[in-house]
Amino acid sequence: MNMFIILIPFLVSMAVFSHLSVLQFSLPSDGNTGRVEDPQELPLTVAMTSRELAVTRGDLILATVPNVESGYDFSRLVAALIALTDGGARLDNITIAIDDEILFSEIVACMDHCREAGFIDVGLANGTNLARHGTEGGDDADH
Amino acid sequence: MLITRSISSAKAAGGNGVAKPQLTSMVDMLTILLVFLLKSFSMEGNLVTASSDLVLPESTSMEQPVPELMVEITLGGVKLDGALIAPLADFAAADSLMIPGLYSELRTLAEDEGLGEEENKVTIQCDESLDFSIVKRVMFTCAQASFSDFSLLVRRGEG
Repeated sequence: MNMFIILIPFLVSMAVFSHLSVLQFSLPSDGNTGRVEDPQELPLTVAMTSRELAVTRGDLILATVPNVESGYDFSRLVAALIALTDGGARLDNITIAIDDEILFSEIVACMDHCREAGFIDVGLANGTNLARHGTEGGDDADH
Repeated sequence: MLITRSISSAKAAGGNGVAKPQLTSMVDMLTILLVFLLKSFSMEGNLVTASSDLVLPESTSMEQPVPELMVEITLGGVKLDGALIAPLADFAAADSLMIPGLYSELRTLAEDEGLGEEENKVTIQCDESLDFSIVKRVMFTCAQASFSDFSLLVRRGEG
């Protein structure tokens, strides 16, 4: 009985109530900035701006996912990424280009959703300020 | 039920009606509790602990953290293995991405540890309410100091 009285408080004090994990990420390699013969060989990029998510390949905007009232619409982003990669795009890596004002919690959520869409290697890069350039020419993720 | 029965049996035996706790059922209960706690007890121990002055973001990642160099970005500044290296106010609005204090500490550490110029591992803990302008400065400085194999420490959420 005394053993229980000692052992149980000890175990309660040692119990791990918040589990920790790590998220691996990489910086974009220099090779991505060089000239590529086939634009289809370029990896996809998700541009995170304060008002939308945009999926791009090189200079081409493939899909835009405007924010909803609650924030980023990650479910539509995942659907857009899956739709784009069905055509045989490279699934191994994707880069998230992030604007300065984006919160870290949103970045982690976006990384999670990219992994959910099948991308193993997620890279982080400085934003491309797509919001400033506008998104003319891009298809909405619904189409 | 047991207590009622023990009262009635105590009365029948001419006792004074005071119920005695059943030691057997109490030991049973404690045994179940002990097994449950032993099951949740991690034998690996807390190899990596989150800093107390920041709130980590939640993620679906299930990858186990391993102990390595830890850079913490709190609301107060950047800490290296728990020691404040650069207050946030000193570099948050600077034009340069480099954080000089952090860079010199990391280079000293790399030289002391005999680390090469290849990609050394670093784990970043960052408060979820900080924005990317802060995180990218820390990432840039770490990469310049040869620590460019990054991991982010997160809270494990619903997977």
